[in-house]
Amino acid sequence: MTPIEFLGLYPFQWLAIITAGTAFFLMIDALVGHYRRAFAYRMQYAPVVTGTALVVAALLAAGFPDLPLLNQLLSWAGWLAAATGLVGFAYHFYYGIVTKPGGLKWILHYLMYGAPIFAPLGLTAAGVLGIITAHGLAGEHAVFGLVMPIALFLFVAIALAGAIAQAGILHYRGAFNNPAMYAPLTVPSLAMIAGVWMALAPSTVARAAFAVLLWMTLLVGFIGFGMHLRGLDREMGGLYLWHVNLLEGPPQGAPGLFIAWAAIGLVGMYLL
Amino acid sequence: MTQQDQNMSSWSLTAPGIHGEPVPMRDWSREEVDVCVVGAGAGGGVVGAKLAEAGFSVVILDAGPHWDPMNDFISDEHASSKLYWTDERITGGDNPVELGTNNSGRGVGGSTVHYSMIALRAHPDHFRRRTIEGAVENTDHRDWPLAFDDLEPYYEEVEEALQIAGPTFYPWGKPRRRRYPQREHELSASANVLVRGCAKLGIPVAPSPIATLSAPHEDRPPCVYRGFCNFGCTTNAKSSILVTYIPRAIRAGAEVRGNAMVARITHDSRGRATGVLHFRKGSDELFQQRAKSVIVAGYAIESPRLLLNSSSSLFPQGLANSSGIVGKYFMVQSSEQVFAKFPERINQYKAPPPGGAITEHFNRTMPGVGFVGGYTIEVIGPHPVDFVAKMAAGRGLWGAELRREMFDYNHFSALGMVGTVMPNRKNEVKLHETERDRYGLPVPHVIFSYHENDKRLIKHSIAKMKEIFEAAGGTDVWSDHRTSHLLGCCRMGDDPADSVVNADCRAHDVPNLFICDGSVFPNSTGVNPSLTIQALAARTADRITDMARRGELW
Amino acid sequence: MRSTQEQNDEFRSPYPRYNVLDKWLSPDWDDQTREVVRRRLEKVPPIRFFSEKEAQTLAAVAERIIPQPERKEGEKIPIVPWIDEKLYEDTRDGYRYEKLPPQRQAWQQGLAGIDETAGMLFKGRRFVDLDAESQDEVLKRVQKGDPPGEIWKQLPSRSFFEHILLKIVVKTYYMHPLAWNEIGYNGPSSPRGHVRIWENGLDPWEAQEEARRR
Repeated sequence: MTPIEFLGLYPFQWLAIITAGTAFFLMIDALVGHYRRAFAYRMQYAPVVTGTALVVAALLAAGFPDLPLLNQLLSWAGWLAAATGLVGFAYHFYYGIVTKPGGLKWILHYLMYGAPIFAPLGLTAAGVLGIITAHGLAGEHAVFGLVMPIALFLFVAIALAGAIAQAGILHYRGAFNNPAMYAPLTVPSLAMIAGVWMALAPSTVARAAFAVLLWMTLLVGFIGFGMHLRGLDREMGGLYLWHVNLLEGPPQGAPGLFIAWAAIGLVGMYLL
Repeated sequence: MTQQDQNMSSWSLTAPGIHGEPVPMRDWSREEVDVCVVGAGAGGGVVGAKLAEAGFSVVILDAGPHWDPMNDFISDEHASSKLYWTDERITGGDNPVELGTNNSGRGVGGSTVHYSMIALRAHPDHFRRRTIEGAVENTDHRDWPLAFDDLEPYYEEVEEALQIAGPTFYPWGKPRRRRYPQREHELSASANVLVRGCAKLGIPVAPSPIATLSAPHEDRPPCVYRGFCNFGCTTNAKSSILVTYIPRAIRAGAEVRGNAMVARITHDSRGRATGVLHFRKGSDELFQQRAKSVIVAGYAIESPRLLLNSSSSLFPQGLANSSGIVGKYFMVQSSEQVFAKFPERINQYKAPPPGGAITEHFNRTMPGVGFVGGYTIEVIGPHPVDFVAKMAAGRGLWGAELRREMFDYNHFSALGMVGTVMPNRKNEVKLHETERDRYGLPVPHVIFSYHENDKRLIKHSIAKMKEIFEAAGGTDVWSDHRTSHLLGCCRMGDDPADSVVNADCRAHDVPNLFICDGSVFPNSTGVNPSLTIQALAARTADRITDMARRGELW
Repeated sequence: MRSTQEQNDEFRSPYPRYNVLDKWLSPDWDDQTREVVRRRLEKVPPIRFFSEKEAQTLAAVAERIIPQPERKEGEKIPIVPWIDEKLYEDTRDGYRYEKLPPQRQAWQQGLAGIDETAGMLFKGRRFVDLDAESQDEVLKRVQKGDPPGEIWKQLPSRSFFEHILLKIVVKTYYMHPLAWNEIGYNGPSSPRGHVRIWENGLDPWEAQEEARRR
């Protein structure tokens, strides 16, 4: 396994950049969503802080891959973000569903309108990615007892599952008013399956299928950006009332997750 | 209708589109149309649009203007009274009904322009209340001549057309075959109060299905929670008839003629309707619209009034009134409102008034309560002008005390109910003996008194709503009397001696006359009637299409 | 007589710094709504229907039904002109209780009735010449349905008070932006709506409550 350089950067540098990008989009989403709730709990600042820390640490680690201190910093930031995500998940479940009027009996309502239940796990995923990246930058070939590409493929599969679940809930809330809203449920689901396949029983067929599906997932993400912007414009007042429609319309950063998770798979596949 | 007929009319008119743009419209004023619909609201809009789409030539008349939602609707309570039917009506009986606001509309779209959008299906039992409940002294409630199953496909059709936003699982009524087209809305503060109170008391409560978009649909954006739904929607998120069926009707070649107050229905010597005579704004002259059939959809006061005003030597008691019961069995729905104060900011001016939660737990005949029928508990969200009138009337409050109490406006939450009312022959709409309106037509005289059963139901509902508020932590609980919806007066049935129309909404006496609105209800249901009126209209359109194609109509 | 300070405190709004008109140019106000409210603020109609005496009586009655002692004459929310305009144009409400005459007649009789009752209870004095407590007593008798006077034999006083006088006076007061300010009402909202629709949820442009009583 020889790392392949791409556009002058080594694969784990790319992963560090992807980590930063993911954390950035998640942080923006948390900022917007928590602002919508007027930062009613102090904990709502946590993902903004740890997300920003992860962005900075990942960019530094990408820029100076040979500095062990920065590598260590990325690892710490990764653990911090991962922990924040887990706590956030508990908070989203408890304050976003359990303690709401009607509580768990209204779970279907609060999955749609309470705090987005899987969103904090996105931050956890970004954190884990940071940790994996830190190990990779340190020249290790395995992480959590798995060889690098396998670890990445499994990571992609799990991360995609979360993104698909959250997109599924919110697109259901939007009544799939545009058929394109099914795209992030179908293509990435297949990519997820192919990812597990590649991790457990790699073969040429699995590799080809996974590659195609990852590229398609990447495309879904890019198209998603455009569609979400269009969705914002379809709200009352459109871009003129962007300051409310940013809060009420489709989450503008969310499709970025599909791009990030797919890109990780592609890095694992082509560069490692 | 032949192709030649189609060619006779031209697309020379324009109507206001829903985005403020003029849209071309046919001019049928000089032709004999297949169908002339009187009233462009929940009943008339649906039946007119569907018949136009089926290929018939259609004119839909409304006494009020053709609203331009982008420019005519005002974000202000007082200025929105133009949406109501404010011509004088005389109201009497033991419990005179307040008219002219929530229960009336004037203008294309009818009262759906300002209704609260609660889109509930009646329950199968509501169509067979007499069978289930038995006879009740001093009332004459009947089974409907059609069953829930006859309407079910039409409920589905209308829900799809209006893109009703409702819960994934709705716990009351017959289980749904298809999911609501859109998802429920987020709960408002007032709805949270209802959910909290019900949860504490163990009363089942669910998201409420309402006719407001929760996601974009075609060229209409989702609701932005302005909270001015009762004063006309300026964003088109609200699925009123004005922005749903009316554009369809116009596209399909119907003419929708606003400011056209129909004075009478004309007929020939055989007793078949031949069209209508109507006034146009700014003219004392009567215009004639010739038609092969007439559909009356003016709601439970104007529909019977029009039939009674159309009396002739052939129909001395009024058109379609050989039974003598046109105007009889007038019903409202009891709509008591309860208010309570909370430490939290509720801000009841925000979000659609129905808030997003509802309980139909009491919408059934309950054992041991001393009354038959039931009611639905809903959330309401009055703005200050409406609210202060309720507070002044409900608590007899005025002076410094009233003004100070109003400082807490943002801390009040409100619940309302919609309850069944027993049909009673003594409750009626008749023509006033002396009073005339601006057109010189006799004004309606509305007589209404609650039955003992209704009073017991009301008492029960107020107690329940107060319990819910107290369980949710409300204080200073008070209530105000109110009614909503107008039903009856042209009830449907199989027996021509005892009803005005049959199950197809076709008049027993005049074969090419139909009545298609809340006035055909033989009894009331425990839910808001708009969806049932629309489903009935959708079914009637299909029945008319069938009959016309078989050559049974003209 | 209480001091002005006491009166000001009595009607101290929990939203002292909120002014709905600050949002005039915001996306909460569309053109047609601005036009309606502009007229309400700037084009208060002249008295054309009521006689001078009727207008004086109604002004005094309105001041008891919805008192504005802390506002100087000329700064009060106008009530009489709008009711006068409604009657001058004879804009109806869509219904009339069968026991009540048409609205113009009802208002004229009702105001004359209030003066008549005032005279019978307080030695021939007119309503406007009574002190606040006596005025309240007159109105309470009308509200209860047992006021002395010939006019009330034709016009049911309770019905007039409840269904016409009280309702229309208070509705007229609360259609004015000054009244919206004191109760923290968001006012017009088109095309911009609301995001934070839950309990205690406030969008940045909504009224902030400062001193909540009790």
